[in-house]
Amino acid sequence: MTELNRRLVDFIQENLVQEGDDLVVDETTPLLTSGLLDSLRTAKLLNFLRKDVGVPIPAAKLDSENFQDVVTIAAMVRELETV
Amino acid sequence: MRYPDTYIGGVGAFVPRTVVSVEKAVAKGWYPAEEAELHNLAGAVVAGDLPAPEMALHAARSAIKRSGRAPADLDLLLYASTWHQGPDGWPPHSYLQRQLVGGDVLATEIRQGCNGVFLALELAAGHLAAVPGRRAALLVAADNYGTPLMDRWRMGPGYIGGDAASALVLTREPGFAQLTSVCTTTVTEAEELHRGSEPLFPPGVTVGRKMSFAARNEQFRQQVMPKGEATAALFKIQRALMEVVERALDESGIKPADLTRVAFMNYSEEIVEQRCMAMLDLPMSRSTWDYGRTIGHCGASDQVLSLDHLLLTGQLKPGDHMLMLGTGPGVTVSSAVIKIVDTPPWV
Repeated sequence: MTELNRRLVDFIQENLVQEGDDLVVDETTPLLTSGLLDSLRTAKLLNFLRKDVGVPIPAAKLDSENFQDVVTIAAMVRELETV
Repeated sequence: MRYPDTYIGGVGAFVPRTVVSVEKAVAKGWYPAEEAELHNLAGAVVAGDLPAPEMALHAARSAIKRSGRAPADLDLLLYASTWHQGPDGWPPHSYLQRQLVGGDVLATEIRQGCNGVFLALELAAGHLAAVPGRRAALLVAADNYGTPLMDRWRMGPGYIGGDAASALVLTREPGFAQLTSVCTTTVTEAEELHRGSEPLFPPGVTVGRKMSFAARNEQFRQQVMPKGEATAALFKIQRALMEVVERALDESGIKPADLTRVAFMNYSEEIVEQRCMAMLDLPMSRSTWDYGRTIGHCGASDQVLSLDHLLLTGQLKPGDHMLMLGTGPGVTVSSAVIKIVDTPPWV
């Protein structure tokens, strides 16, 4: 697992999985179908990507396809980094 | 949408003096202690049995007086409500027509939930610009949630309901502030978020069903659609919020860093920070959360009450920009940018 993927998995597990929810997040955990990414938690993830990872995600990129799981998010982030 | 030569001439607010603190609500068992800690709200202003249209009249009178205009100057009255105003079927704006502006002013009620004032801004700006000679519009919002079938302490996730009224006088001639942009979009996939699994017929209130967006939101997440679809719809709301902000700032020719203050809805600290301020990369000190947490979520009035408060406390000076942002049932997402042109005469 790449360092970025590890950071994303850890952030989602510690900040987006709610107390009492025994979901264990890995690189391919479906973030939308699992109900994780509602509007507040989407905002938290985007703020983490901008502040901690240093890659702001433009609104135009906020498509479900880019946020299926950690793998697709990481691919989008790497693509934005090279822009 | 950008509306040239559209100004705010007057602002009015009616905020009841009675505040019920979160501590008291927790002690009385009205509000869960864990929510008090999670959301860090302070209290809600409560109007008792003072009707919403009465509060609206107070706010409207104040806005007109401050604008220096006569009621007869008005070409439009839009009255935004989110909850029942008086006898069903009776139009609340007719109360203001009789008491204040007269019968020659086109008047109607706007029911677009908590972003009703944004819709009123856009409709009024367009109405005034459509025909030469139209000069001013009065926009009002008011609600009193202290009724049966509504519980202000369990109204929705991350907010408590406050009773208040607000008003704006929009003009074509220069006023103390300019409306540089107002934008609205609707995330139609999230339409059921505010009706949950409730039947469309008969309407809930006619069968005495209590109103709770918290319950309906939960039904939406759990039952209404497959979980993936429901979450994808909620995911799109944050995108829509970012888009209407980007558009309003572009149309106003400014960047987020140029914003002196941002007025979101009077929601929990976490929601205001994560969904609004951090999204703009701005500190909470530039939000109006410290004021908003003391009065509660006052329906469609939050952003105008914040504007009134900011002006009276000297937090907005000529040249400053303020962003107003809000969401409502639909799910409809709105933003507006105003630029302070001059210190208002009443401050």
